[in-house]
Amino acid sequence: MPDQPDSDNELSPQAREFLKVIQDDMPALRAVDLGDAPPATMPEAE
Amino acid sequence: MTLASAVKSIESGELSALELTKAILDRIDSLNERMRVFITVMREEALADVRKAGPPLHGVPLSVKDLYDTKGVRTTAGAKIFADRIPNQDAAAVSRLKEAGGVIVGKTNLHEFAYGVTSINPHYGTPRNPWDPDRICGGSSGGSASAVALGLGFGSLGTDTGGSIRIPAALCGIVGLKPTYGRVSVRGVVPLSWSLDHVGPMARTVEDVAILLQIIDGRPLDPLTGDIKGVRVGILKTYFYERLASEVDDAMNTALRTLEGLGARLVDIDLPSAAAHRGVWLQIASPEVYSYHEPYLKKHPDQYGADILGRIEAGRVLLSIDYVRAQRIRTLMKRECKSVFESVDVIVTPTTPIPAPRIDGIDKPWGDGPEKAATALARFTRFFNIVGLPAISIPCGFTPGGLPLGMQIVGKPFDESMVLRVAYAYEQDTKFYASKDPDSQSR
Repeated sequence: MPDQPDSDNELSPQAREFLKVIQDDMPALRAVDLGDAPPATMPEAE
Repeated sequence: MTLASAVKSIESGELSALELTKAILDRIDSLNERMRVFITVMREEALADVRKAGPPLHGVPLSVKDLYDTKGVRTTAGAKIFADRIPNQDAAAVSRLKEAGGVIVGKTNLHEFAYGVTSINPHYGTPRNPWDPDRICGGSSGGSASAVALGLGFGSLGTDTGGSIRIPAALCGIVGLKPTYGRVSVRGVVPLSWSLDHVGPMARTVEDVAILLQIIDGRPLDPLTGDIKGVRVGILKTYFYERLASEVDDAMNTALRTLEGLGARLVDIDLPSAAAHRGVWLQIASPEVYSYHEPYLKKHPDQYGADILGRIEAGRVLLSIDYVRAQRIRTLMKRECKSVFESVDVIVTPTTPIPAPRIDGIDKPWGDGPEKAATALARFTRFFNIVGLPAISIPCGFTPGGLPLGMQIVGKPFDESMVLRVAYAYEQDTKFYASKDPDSQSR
């Protein structure tokens, strides 16, 4: 399965560099056990 | 002079709001070419507004970041593409300031589209740090922080998506408050990342920030007493006290002892999820930023600064499943914070791990490690945008070279009163805001 859509190929070198920074952080995110957590569309006030 | 004392002096007739406004405008004229603090100076509007200003602010001069819409006055967002953008109404927070008798003297400089922490701006010049003009004033609300520190107005409104109020406040030696997400209206403020954007006040003192927050929010806060006996202060031993410049480490050790001396109880806590927060922030912010900019970027990519162009563009190709993953981790982070706040009243961290870097050094490693100075600046602030908690930066000392340092105090959702209570008690004991003046530094 590809990591990114095909349009990745159209990115500028600067965007690719930044994408690498983002991707470097992804293993830590993928390692998190999400359990039953739904997406937080807004921070919960209490 | 603080905002509170200026208001009192005007109210008592000791000071004329008109003369004060003229003096501030003249000072802006004398400093702005060199310090690049304002993008637009509103001399005519300010002199007209001050003549009709009433209570509670009585015409005290203020500024707003040039991300806030101002009716009939251009709002550039620090961007070339918005150089001639003139809104037809004020942002909600600007309206509230004006209705309260605040006089806006100008629109402050910022990182282009608020997308960065240095405020280095290719279109409008780089606002300078009042304590050392060869250094950045932080960002993205850098012009606002610099203006307040230089006495170019008694307060300012900034915005904060990853630390953009607190970082420049720390680097310029002033107070900056990011309220709880959603507490203050963002209507009429050019967005960066909708689910992370906050607006808030910046000023010289905690009392001044509290005054401004009550005006732009409309709800009263608890009175500031200076008493923090028995308040439980959470100390995050992992992540938030790691990889600090030695001056920051020393200042924070002293600050924590001071809080203890004031009667606070220090409690060791942990937020393990914070270690993954940069990835979460990037996965949420990047597509949101791109979504806003898409129509402009498609037509006029040449008008964007090189610094932000690639970062915005990258947001176009991230996977939606990773955005959802980040939003689910955000829920876990909020749950973790809720649990921590069962045992503490506030959390205290350094605002930044380093003092203000040199303008020519932001892309260089700041210490022995590989971390670039610009990257380090948001390390302790961004997490609290993700979870939406109220967080303030207050001065907590100076480096031996005279650069200010900031301490961050974080509270429960909508508990700005507790954040301000702890900040005020610490400030009254240390009075760093009154101990030195950037005018005494070489400029």
